[in-house]
Amino acid sequence: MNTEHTDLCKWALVILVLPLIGFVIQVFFGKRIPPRERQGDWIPTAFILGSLAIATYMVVRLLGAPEGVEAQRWYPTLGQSWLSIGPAPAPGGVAPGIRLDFGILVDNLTIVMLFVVTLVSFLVHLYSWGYMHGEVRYNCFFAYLGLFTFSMLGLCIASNLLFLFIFWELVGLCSYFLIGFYFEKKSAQYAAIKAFMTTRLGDLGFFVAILAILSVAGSLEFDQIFASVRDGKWVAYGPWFLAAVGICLFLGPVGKSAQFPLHVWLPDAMEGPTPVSALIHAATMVAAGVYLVGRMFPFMAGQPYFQGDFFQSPALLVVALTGGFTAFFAATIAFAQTDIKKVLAYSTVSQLGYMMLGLGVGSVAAGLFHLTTHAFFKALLFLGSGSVIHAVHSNELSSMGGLRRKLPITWATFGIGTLAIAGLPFLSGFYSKEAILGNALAFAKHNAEAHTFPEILGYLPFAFGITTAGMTAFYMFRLYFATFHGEPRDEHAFEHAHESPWTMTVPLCVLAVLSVVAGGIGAPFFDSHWFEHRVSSEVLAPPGAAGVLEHVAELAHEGHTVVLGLSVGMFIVGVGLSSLFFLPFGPFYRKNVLVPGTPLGGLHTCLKNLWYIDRAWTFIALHTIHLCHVVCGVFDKRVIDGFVNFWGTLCRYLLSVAGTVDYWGVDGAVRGLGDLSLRAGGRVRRLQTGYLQEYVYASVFLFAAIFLVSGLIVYIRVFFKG
Amino acid sequence: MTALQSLVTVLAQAQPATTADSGSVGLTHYLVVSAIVFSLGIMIIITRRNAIALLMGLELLLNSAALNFVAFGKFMTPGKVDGQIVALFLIVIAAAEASLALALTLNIFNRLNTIDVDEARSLKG
Repeated sequence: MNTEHTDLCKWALVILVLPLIGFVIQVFFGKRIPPRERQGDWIPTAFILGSLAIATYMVVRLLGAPEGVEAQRWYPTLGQSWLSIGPAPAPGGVAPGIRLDFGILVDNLTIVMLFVVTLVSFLVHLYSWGYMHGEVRYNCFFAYLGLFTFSMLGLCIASNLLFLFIFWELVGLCSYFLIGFYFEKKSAQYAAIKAFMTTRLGDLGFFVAILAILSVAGSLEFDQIFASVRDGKWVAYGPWFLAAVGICLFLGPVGKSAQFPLHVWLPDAMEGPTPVSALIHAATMVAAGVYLVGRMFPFMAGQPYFQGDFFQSPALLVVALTGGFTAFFAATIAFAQTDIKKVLAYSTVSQLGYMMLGLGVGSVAAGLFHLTTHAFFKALLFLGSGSVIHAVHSNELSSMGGLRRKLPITWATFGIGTLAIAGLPFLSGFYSKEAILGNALAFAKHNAEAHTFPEILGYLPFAFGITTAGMTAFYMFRLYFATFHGEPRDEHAFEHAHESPWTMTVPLCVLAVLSVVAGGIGAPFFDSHWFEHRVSSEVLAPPGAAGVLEHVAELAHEGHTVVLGLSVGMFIVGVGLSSLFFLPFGPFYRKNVLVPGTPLGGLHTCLKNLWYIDRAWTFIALHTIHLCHVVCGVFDKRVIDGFVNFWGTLCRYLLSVAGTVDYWGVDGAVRGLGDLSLRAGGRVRRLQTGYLQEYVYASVFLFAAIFLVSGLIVYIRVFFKG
Repeated sequence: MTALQSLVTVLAQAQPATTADSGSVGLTHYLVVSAIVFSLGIMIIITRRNAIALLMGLELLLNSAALNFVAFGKFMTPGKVDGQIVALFLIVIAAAEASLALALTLNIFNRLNTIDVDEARSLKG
């Protein structure tokens, strides 16, 4: 770890910021930048080209150094922590508590990722000039692409888990924007929401893992996390805790990298424009999960990593099994798809499973190598399919067929891509796939010797991998033959088909070249094992790693020929079977073997319905939401409304009491007074008879009475005095 | 009325006997007479329905009061004529008041076409 030389980190920051500037300019000034009708599409492209240039420089430096570049870390935080929890550090002392900083980490892995991301992004930008020509919100599209590139680059250079997570979510957000780009279509809206929700579910596990790591390791910096594993801080929580957290962490990639069972969003994400599919859902965003597992490899491998043994981790076994199963599962579905983009989507899911498989069997290099080669040929395949779609104005295979005469460049480049993914020897895909399969077999053998896990479990990843290799060859060539060879299925579409403009075909050619030569960087022929050594010098080089790694490498070497033979054999079988069905001179051409009712037809229906997984998720989601509805409704009605009603009733009761008191008491007194005066008046009124003589009589009577009484009083007084 | 008043004057000029013998007229006798006349006057006022009769009763009342004054004047302040002066005042007052009462009676007659005081009860409450 180098903290003195930070020049690479500074270059990395420049790479990060350039697309962001492009985004900001495009958002605010896009439509006004000359030339008017282009709506400023060249601005983000130029900025990405700048980023690409810097990334190329970094790759050149990487190629030049014998063991790769030394890793560098830099914190552009001007002395203050971005977020700190806990007391301030004593002067000159170590700060207690938790410090979170925005840091930039640059090592071999980062450089490779930066190069891949900027290259594919630039090619997609160029491609979109042609493909998105005349679409609504043209300038907005480029803005989103720029924002996405910024987010993905940020993810790659983050030096701690928190910022990786932030950019992870940002990437998910951009994916949402871009999938829902044609938001006038309901299907696009649903697909965008589905993507976001499904990845969010995975991110829940990721976040739980982050919290666990933060609480145990006290920091989210990668080196601190690995140090905490090495120093045994996780042992105190029990033997399974580290593995459990690792599996939780893996849930994030399960969502983001579309592993089973959270793969359901990726095929629906094909609602977005094809350049989006190429950039995000083939080459970069879905690779983020693979990158995460690769970056956190020491953590997932557990403490044995630091003794050089990568093959004892239950978490990694889960990764391998999930990856293998996903690869197999998605490949089966791809057999039955008729939409060209859906085939490629399931192919992506399958290849992502391969990458996870590679990582899970302990070979970071193999998994990440496959990530790189896959980025190239999958982007090529998607862009090529976009070219086809642009020509026939439809996604369905039923509109295609025999297009090689009309779209020669697309045919050639797509052919190269298909060969690469199927694993033709000497192409890039062959090398990366063979690396993964070789390591899987070595893992299986080592596991059989060391008895860490049950033997059958150890062989499963390899079994999945090798079967899927054959299946991949088959369905990819099915796609290729059905699109470009044979007779056109739709004459009208065929008439109007034309080759794409240069902005679309140039990226195709570039990617085709890369698909061929990218194998060189890992090719055993050149005896460099460049990728082995160069990628993640920090991740892959624990001090004192000796015995086990070497042994497994030997096993890999021994099984080398077997794997070689098997993979080539699978390639031949797959292509051969496919040509039997889909080439004009094949015996089964255009014969319908998939009659419903027969076992094969029944399987076909099942595959067409995607093994009913989507329906299962919908069912679960609907019922969960319904349950929440019911519970919340009951709670609201009984508890909350009951509480409110209680107080209301209480108030009403008290008020009625007050009312009664008021009516009878207060008003009663007032009324009583009035009544009293009325009655008294009534009584007294009777004295006024109107007869004068009676008045006289009365007054005389009264006087007499007064005199008598007073005289009586005087008499009594005198009497008693005397 | 004037006859009665002259009677009273004559009675007042009678010199009181300085020695009170059993058969001579003392204050008490005068007071009793005054009281009787007073009660007669009251009774007339109370019982007679004719308004003029009422006025006559009223005269009786006033004169009994005058008699009372004269009696007291004669026996309480002998040699002074205060009682008799008051009696003179009373005569004037009675005259004024009689004229007023007659005017009232006239108005009542104009209104009610009768001088029966029982009919004048519009102030009944």
